This record gives sequence, C-alpha cells and structure tokens, in this order.
Amino acid sequence: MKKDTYIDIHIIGEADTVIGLREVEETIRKEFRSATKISRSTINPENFYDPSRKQYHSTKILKEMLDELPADASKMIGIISHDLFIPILTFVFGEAQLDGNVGIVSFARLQQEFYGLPPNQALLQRRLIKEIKHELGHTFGLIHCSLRECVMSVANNIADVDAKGSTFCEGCNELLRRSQKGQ
Amino acid sequence: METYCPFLKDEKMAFCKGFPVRKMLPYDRLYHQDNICIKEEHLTCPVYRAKDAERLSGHSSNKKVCPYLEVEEVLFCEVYPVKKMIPSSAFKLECPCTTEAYIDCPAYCQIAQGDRASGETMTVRGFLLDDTVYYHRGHLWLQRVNGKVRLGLDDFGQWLLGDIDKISFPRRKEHVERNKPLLRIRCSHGTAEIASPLSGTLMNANEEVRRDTSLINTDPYGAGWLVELRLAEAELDRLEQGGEGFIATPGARRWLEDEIDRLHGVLETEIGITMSDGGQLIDTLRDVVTQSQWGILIKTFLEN
Ligand code: SF4
Ligand SMILES: [Zn+2]
Ligand SMILES: [Zn+2]
Repeated sequence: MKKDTYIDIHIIGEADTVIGLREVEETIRKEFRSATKISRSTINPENFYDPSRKQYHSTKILKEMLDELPADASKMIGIISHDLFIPILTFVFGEAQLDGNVGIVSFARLQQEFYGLPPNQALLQRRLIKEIKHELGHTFGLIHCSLRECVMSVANNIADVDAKGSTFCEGCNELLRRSQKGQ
Repeated sequence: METYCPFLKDEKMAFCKGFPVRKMLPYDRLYHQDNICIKEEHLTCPVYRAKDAERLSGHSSNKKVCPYLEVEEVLFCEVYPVKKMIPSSAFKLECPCTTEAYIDCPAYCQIAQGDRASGETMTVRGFLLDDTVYYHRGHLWLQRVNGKVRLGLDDFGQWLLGDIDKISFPRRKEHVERNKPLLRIRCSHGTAEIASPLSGTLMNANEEVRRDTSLINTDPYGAGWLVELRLAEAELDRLEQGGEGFIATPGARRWLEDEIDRLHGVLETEIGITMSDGGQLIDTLRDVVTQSQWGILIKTFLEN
C-alpha cells in the first residue's frame, strides 16, 4: 500500500458521542496496517430515509460517501447511528463495496437498547469493532467466510455478531495481505 | 493424462458435525464456481503454485472425545493453509474437540441445545433446507419415492419466483431429456423455463399444485412437489453419485449460503457489487426488483 494513504473514518450524524473512536482507530491501524483519519460527514441521512421501511437506504449513503472520499484516502468507513436497509434485506448492520473504497456500519442494532436491554457500552464497542473490520474486509475484496470464528463470517442477527470471532482467520488474513500488496 | 491435481488428496479426517461445512475443500470459497482442482486448470491455482503450507496429519487417541467429532473420508487440498481443515487441525491447534473443553465450545453448545437435530429441516438465512433430499444447482430438489424420483423447487427457488400464476408440465409418459425444458412457470414478472436435471419418463405431475400454485410457495418440499420421473439406471447413478450440477447433501448448506451471497453480486447496485450483512431477505422479492432484474435472477439461479 502506498505510504501516504490512510483509511478515513467517516462520522455521519452524531455517532461519536456514543462510541469510542480511539479504539476504532487503533484497531484499524493495527489490523489493516494503515494510517487513519477521522472526518465529519456533510451527508444528511434524512435524505435517504424511506418512509415505507422507516429505515435509511444504505447503498444510497455509500454512493454519497464516494463523493466525499478524499483523494489521498484508500478507503472510507462510515459510522452511523441510523437503522440501515437495502431493498432485499429486512435490515443491514453494514454494507460495503466489494473490492472498492467505501463501507458503512450502523450501530443502531448493535446497541442492547434496540433489543429492550440495559445499555452496555463495552459490548457495543466490541460489536462495532467486529463490524467495522468486516466491512473494511469487503472493501479489500474479502467475501464471506465459512468459519464462525472469523470476523468475515456473515451475521444475520445480533447473536451471530456476538458469536463470531473478532479477528480474520488465517485464510482471510492471507487474502487481505495479498490484496493490500496489490494496491 | 493426469487430470487430478496432485495436491487433491482423499484421506480420513476428523470433522465436526456441528460445523456448517462438512467438506472443506479449499476452493469452496475462492473458486466455488468451478471445481478447478479436478481439472487441468489447477495449474493456475495460486494455492497449487505456492505449495508451501504444511501438511496436516496430526493424530491423537484421546478418550474424552466430543460426541460431535466425526471421522470421515474426505477430499482436501494438501497444500492449502491450515484454516480450511479446522476440526481436523483440532489435534494440532488444541481445539476443544478432543478434550473435555468441548463442553464450552460455542458450536457444541448450540447443537447440544437442540439448535439443529440431524435429519430435520434446518434453515439457512431464513430458507428451509431439507437434508433428506438431493439438490440440483437450478434450485430443484430430488428424492426417491416408490421407485420414482420426485422433484420440486427448493425454498430459495420458490422465493425467487414469488407468486406463481400458472405452471405447465409435460404430458404423462412423455420422455424428458436432461437439460431440456421440463417446467414452464408463469409469474407476474415473466415466465421461467426450468430444464430437467436428468433424463427420464414423466410418470406423475402434481395436480394439486396445478390447481393451487401457492402450495409451491408454502410447502416446497412437501405438498408443493412438482413431478415424478422414472429414471434409467445411469441417470439414477448420476443423481446419487453427485453428477454434474448436483450438490452433495452435506455441502448443501454452504452452497445455499453462497447462492444467497451471489444474489448481491447479481443485483448489482449503482456503485457496483456490494456485500451486506444483516437480516433476512424480504418476503416478496417482486416488490423490490424490476422486471428485467427478475429475469436476470431467474436466468442466473434457476435456468443455469
Ligand atoms: S468441541 Fe465444538 S468444534 Fe469440536 S467437535 Fe465438538 S462441537 Fe465441534
Ligand atoms: Zn475467514
Ligand atoms: Zn459481509
């Protein structure tokens, strides 16, 4: 990877009042061996609200993020508090361009409160980190992994998020390194 | 000439019955479109080329073995990195499988709690998967019933089609050819032409389904069956020995997961292919795809 590029952590809305950005940055630096920067989005999620679904259209926000992608950033990972969807799925925890530049994670459903449970900051943070790694993994061309212990395994509900591991398995890690070399 | 990759091995390996994938062939993920390992194309396989991974054959004779640990004759790539071998590499990586620690293994706990009893219908991302039938890549299931072979659409297949207006079958006693038209299914977005996965004689068509097509949607593996064929011996072998286009039952779960993932690739967005992680596929696909997208989906998944 080129030296002067970085992964942009793109805050959409007031996400950073709820989550610990320092840990997010540290994880990305370590796992993706890349510098990071934090940017504040000008995107207004309300423009992507779908009243019939009462959710926000994830792909449309990603498209908007592409316009905000700084020239020197290699990837951009959006963090948003709004509940996201794509037309064919009932909701999404996140979405990313496969082998592309942008990914997004919503923490709406990563919060215990969503399920009527008392808040748990540490748990939210763990889940968020997993999903961020996962979506960034997609931007590096990784597809879903069949190993539950791998962070690239797919999650269809919050139990899956909790059950999966927080690191890349050996195979995914290898693919990630290859993909980074190719850049 | 040798058409098998020299690194494709078959050997007794230990597997966890609880893992979604039983046969962890390395290409199941990277090259799942085509099994390159058994063709000459293996020469282009990066794994074949970088044959530097270690060989796995550790063994142990521990008494306190997890009941879900199973030994099976399997195919595997000798030079693929460790991770594809999971439960067998258990012996080496101190996996819980062969020690009392299996009690705490999340996979074990899940099955022990009755998450999935074997021989029963299970679901894969919301789709029913019956593990007592054979699957064909065109999302058909097949099962031997009284000397005939019964065929229907799998749950994913019926979901893709959505509401069905009309279904037409060949006439009774008519001969059907493998890869030639078998079913015509008219839906609101268009008509699907489903080819027969095998050659045979049509013995029965499900008259109930002809009258009430919603049975296909509500009970795809049961009352929604479509036709019964009588097959010649060679065709039966094809079915039972996993001929071209058939998915071995243990691999069906993984196959269906891949198919669901593939859906995202086919429904390309304005910004190219994206991967999403989230809930279930919505109930009615029809409402969110255009007619032409529907046509592409049917071509890709049912008419291939
Ligand atoms: S301990 Fe877990 S991984 Fe090992 S065989 Fe039992 S269920 Fe499978
Ligand atoms: Zn993995
Ligand atoms: Zn994913």
